Amino acid sequence: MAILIGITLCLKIVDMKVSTSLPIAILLFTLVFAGCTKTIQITKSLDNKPAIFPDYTDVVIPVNIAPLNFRLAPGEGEACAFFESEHNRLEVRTKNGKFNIPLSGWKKLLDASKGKEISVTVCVKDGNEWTAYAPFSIQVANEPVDPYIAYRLIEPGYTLWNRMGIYQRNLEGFKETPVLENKMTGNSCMNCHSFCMQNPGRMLFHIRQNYSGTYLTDGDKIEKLITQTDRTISSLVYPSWHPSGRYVAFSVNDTKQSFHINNSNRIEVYDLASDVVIYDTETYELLTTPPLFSKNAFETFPTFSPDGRTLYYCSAKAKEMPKDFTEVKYSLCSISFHPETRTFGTVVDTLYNAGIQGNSVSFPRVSPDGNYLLYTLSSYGNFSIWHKDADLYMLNLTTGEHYPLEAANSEEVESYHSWSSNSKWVIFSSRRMDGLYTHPYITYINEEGKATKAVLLPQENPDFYPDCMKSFNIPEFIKGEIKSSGHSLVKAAKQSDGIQVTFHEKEQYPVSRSVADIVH
Amino acid sequence: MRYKKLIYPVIIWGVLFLFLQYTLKYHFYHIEQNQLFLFSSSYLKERFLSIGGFSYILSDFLLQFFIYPYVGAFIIATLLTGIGIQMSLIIHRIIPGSPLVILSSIPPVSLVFIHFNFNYFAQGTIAYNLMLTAFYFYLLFKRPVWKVIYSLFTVALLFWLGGSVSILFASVVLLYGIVKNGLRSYEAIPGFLFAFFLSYAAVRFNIIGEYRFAFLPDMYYHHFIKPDTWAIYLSWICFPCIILCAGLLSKTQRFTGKKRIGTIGLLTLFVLGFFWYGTNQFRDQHWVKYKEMEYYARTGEWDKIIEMSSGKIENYLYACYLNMALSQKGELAGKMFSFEQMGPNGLLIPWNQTHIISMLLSDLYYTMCHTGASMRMAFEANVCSPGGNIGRMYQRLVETNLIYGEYPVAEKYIRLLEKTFYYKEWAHSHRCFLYNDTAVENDPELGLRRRSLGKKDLLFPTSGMYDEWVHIAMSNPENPLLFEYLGALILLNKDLDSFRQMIDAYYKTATSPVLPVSFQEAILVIYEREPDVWEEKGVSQAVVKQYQEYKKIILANNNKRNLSDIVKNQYGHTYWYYLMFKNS
Repeated sequence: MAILIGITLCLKIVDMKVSTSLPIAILLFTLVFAGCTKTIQITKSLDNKPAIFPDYTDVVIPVNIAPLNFRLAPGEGEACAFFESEHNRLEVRTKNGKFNIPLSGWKKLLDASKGKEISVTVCVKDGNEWTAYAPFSIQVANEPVDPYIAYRLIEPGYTLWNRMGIYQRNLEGFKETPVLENKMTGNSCMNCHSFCMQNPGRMLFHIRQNYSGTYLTDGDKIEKLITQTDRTISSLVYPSWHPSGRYVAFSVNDTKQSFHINNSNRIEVYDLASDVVIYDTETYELLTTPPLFSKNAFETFPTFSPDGRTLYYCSAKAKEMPKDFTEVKYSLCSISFHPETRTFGTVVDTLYNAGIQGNSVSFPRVSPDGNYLLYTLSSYGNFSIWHKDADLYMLNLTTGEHYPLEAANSEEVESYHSWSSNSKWVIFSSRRMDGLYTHPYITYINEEGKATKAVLLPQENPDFYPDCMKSFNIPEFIKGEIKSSGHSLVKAAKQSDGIQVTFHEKEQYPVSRSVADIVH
Repeated sequence: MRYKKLIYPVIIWGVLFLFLQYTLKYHFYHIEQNQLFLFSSSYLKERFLSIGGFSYILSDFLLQFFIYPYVGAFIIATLLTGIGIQMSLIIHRIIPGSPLVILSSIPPVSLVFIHFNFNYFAQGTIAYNLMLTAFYFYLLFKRPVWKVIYSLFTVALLFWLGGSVSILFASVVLLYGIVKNGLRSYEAIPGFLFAFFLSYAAVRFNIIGEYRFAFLPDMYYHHFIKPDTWAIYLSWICFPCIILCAGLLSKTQRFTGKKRIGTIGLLTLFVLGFFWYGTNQFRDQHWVKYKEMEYYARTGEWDKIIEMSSGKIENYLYACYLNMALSQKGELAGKMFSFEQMGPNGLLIPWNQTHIISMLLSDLYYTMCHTGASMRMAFEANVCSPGGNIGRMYQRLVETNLIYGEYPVAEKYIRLLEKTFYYKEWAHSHRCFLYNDTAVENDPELGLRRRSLGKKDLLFPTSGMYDEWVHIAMSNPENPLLFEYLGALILLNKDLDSFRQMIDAYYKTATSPVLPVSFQEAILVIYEREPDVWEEKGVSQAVVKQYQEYKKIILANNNKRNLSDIVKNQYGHTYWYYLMFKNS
């Protein structure tokens, strides 16, 4: 704008007499262009890196991530940041300590720095002098990340809820749009959104209370399912898609909530009973097998392997609850599954034995390339978001080695996680900022299966998270934008009675506890 | 002449102010809690860009001052007088000099009725003001083409700034057009269609959740519940009715002479009758006392709550406030049976998932040093409140998180409150506790509750009825208040076995136990056949003597049906009376 004004004025001046126009032109040019090309003279250099929020120092990022806007922490006032890579340079200035990196410049920088390192030097102005901090690096990975994520926004609450919804966010910018908000469904609860192989067109989620049911989308088609049966202890809960899209593994859980009088884990959520079933989308039936449906164990968190021939799940010995809640520890198990015949193997493998190892596994997730299994480990129980000691652990499925993702973990909770479609990125929930509100972090998984420093999902306003009164729940990568409109989802919710799911009876299935038998 | 025109509105304002101050004084203090105005660009931006956001921001902004005396009545009286003035200008525009202008009082009076309801947002009244202003300016246009342009523009602007009130505007424009020009009022149709389209599209594209929020004044009511009173629709009904009357009558001859006087008299009677009817119909007396008690609890005026509680106690809510006041004065166990008690629910009211009960429970639990439960209820209250944010509950969340040492979360809430007008000073003053265990432990209020957390953990709610309370009381044996609460709960349940166990445990831990009178009375009942232990258990001779006299009267009148009346005067304040004659 300044340049245009300057040019316009200059053109007018050309029409004036030279004797009067020339000094004016020089003055105008100086004024107009001085602001654009003013360089800073660094008078002091520090050895330490700047304290910035969010902490994006020395991180690895995908080439297609939105700008990592940040602010000085603490600090306001004039500052400048230089982003420099081998062939590119970007300068960002601020007058209030907050760096809003222009999207187009950032994209160019990242495209030019793919597989390379960007050096970031932050300079702050103190009086008339500029001081430069030691530079930090941002490594740009070769592999992109899936361009969208989906999550639920909800207060990190106890029993009641207010406004909530499932949202999708474009990771390449800052745009967040609602997929479905509960203001459209009579303030009901919605949760457990899940995608088949990160496909936005093949999705499911639950709605509870008003218009309750499980909703499956397949392109434009939306199906509402009534999933409570007289053989299962609840409606379907935690989902995991079979790679074929035909089956979905679910847990069924009788879940309760209590509160601690004196414990940093303020809330305790536990199952009184749980089982695992497989839902067949073609026949609307639930299948299971005795190891997944035992009275003597709590089976939960099923997940399929990428080839769909192995079902992983968590299992703990049934205990008297809530009295023995700290003694419930979940092992990581697997059983084979034959999708052609809808049958299971008879041998259960234990990949993590809670009884021997002493901790408890939840949320197992296999990478799409089948090499790794990522899970959450805590000292007991399964609702790990309320356990401050919960951390991310990796199992190398080739070598059988278990190890923590040290660079990604923190002193606070790390819990729910999901893989990108190329198996190089993981997004996970963490409460490291304040111990209560959950935020999404991204980490890169390198060739050795190790994670890099966690990167907080960037927002346009660097102060977004401290002011945000909602938690980001169940972050899931998706390969594209969810096209199902909220209107069509609401229409299905309100107009469809739902298809009743049935329990497939087979002789070898023992009669598990019916709902009426459960003593709370 | 100019000043004469001002007298009438000033009088109306004065009458409204006095009426509102008299009837809704504590209501304004209460609803201040329902909305939270933040001096924050992100909050303002988010609100301003939403449908009806401007009126919502203004409502939030004005409500924050309701915490001060008289301000609530002042602001609402001003808004309502503004509506009356605009209404009179509109009527005068349609039918100049008509006595019908008296009906300009109807819309503000009808809005008074809905203001009795704490689920109603003042946003609705502000939006109504905007709508009237828009309609008045509409009447100034003569040429149809300008009417069309103006109505289209105003519908869009009203929808954005005020919300569903744009439908009312467009509907009345259409109605007025039909009244004036019959079915050829083409200039009124585009605005109406456009308003309808905007409201429909807002729901269709998921900007507004339900059609009733887009088309009805339900937008200005607690969104989680359907309006439980038709008072909310009154102002939307009377405005078109008045316009219809004015429009029809503008075509007839003017009222003059006796006809005019008679009309004025009739209309005045009608307005007064409407006011009387609505005040009786819509003013919910059940909540009047509650709001006053809540205010006194908030300001620590416990004596006033106790004064209000003499005589019959109608519900658990009032009983809880009474018992909380008694405990704050250190008189719970000593004097609780001097008042009518309603069993354990009168000490700890059952939770019904509303913000009213959640706030009360948070206060109760906080008084009882059950910090975890208090924090939980504060969170629940915030979540289910009409506006989604209660400043006072955020204060509680700061306190409870400080007690637990959850400093980053406490800081988050402090930062939020520092963006408010009323709470920022309090929030700032609590920064000294952040990351400072010594300061928390030395603070009389926070330190007491931190010590009450105890060394061990316990899950609540527990299967044992008293487990939590025993845990809290035993964590702080030197604080008699905690044992008083536990004892009161047990006695109200008439659970004498548990009371015996509690007394034995208390005597082992307390440094110098002095039992309140009601505890002594209960001990006499428990150890009636063991007079040797009475003194050892802390029962005074005066209480013993009184019990012996009580027993004599009971035994002498045992077969009389009116036994409770016989003993009530002299012993109605004792635990014995409660045990024998009251339901727990």
